[in-house]
Amino acid sequence: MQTDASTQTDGVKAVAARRLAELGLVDPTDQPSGTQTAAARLSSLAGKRPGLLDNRKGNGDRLLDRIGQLLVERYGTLEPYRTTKFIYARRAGDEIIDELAKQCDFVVTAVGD
Amino acid sequence: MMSSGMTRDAIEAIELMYQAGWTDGLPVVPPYPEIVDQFVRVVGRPPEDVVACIPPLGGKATVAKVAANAVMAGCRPEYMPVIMAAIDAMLDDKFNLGGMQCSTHLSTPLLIINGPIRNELGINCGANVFGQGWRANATIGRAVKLILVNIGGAVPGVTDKATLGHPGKYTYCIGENEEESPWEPLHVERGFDRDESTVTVYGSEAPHNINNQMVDNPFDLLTTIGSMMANLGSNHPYLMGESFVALCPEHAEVCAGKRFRKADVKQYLFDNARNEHRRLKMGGIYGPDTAKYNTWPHWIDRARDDIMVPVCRRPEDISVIVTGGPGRHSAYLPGWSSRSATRKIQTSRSD
Repeated sequence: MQTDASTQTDGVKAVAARRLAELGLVDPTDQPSGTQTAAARLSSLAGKRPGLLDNRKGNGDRLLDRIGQLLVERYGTLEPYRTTKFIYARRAGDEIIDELAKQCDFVVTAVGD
Repeated sequence: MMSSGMTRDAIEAIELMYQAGWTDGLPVVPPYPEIVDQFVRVVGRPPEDVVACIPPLGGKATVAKVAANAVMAGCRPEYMPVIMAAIDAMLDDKFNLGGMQCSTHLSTPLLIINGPIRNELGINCGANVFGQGWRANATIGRAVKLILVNIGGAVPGVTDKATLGHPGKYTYCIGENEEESPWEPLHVERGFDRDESTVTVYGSEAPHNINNQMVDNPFDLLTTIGSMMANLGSNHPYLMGESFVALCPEHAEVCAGKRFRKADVKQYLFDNARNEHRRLKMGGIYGPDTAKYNTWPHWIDRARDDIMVPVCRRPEDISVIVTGGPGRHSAYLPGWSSRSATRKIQTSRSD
């Protein structure tokens, strides 16, 4: 039986949690129940305004430059709206998110290194 | 005495808790409701009260769920006020818990306890302070780490993207050795009374040992420490955030004996823990183009290769504590894109 936290399947976890509840233990976990929903998908990128959010990690700007170029060339988008976080380690400020929502139809960002 | 039936249930529960993903890889104590209730009563709030929503996934930390994790970690009920204060401190926006929980960097909250509660709970501040052997240190630190995963949802390798992690992700809790410090302790420096108890949370790498056995003056000692602080693999020459120096009592005395106040230690380290600009251009988090480093202050002349660049923006970015036992080893605790936060521990005695 696999017992590592990161590789345990949801099914095994659920069965174990049910049995623990039967034993009367207090559940120490709480996971959000997925109340957030994704925005409606775009049917086409043509004529839409892309947003490019740079997290300032090394070479992220180059990657986003190229993605922006390809979006215009291959998918016929408008010129991208470009913005940057102050630092990758912190979430983008509300003013950046609000501006992206106002200016763009979709956003490409980097979340990793 | 426990009946054999209860023993069987407990052993089954320990195995099931592994399968449910509730543990850190070590066995945990089953959170039976009657034990959890004792912990809830110490807090004096209803069990369903939501203390905080813990990043990254925003799980609701109710008093009962915090207590359940504390039971699992092996705590005693009287440790609860420390854990509650630590949660409050970690939720301070400047601490950036959400980022820390998900980063590829290995920093994790370190709890630094100050004030009378250290002696009341038996929190180790002396020999082997970062190591094993003291229930309060081990289990308070562990309870916090279980909460971050079980309620916050920072599952290693899934939402917690740490490339390496470090052993402090199991537990990471120390006391300041106020009795053997020549200076005011951390909480007094931060505006609390000496007889108040506090917890300071700091997003920390593992301790980096600084060995200097023969030194008899602060200049040589702080040069040794500064060298550790300025190493190129650290975040600090690039990010310039806050970091902690943990001086052992004997090293602190080397400084204080030559009339160095804590502020002098910080000033000296700020002035001397530096790298030549051309050396920093060899690389780091942002690559060799230092002109683009928006985390560096404007007063660093990026046009000159020969200037000496500090590891933080101001001396106050270096926090100094005194901890540990006899011997001449101090430690540098490099950090991350986070600022430490301090909270008073609310006990029935202090209310």
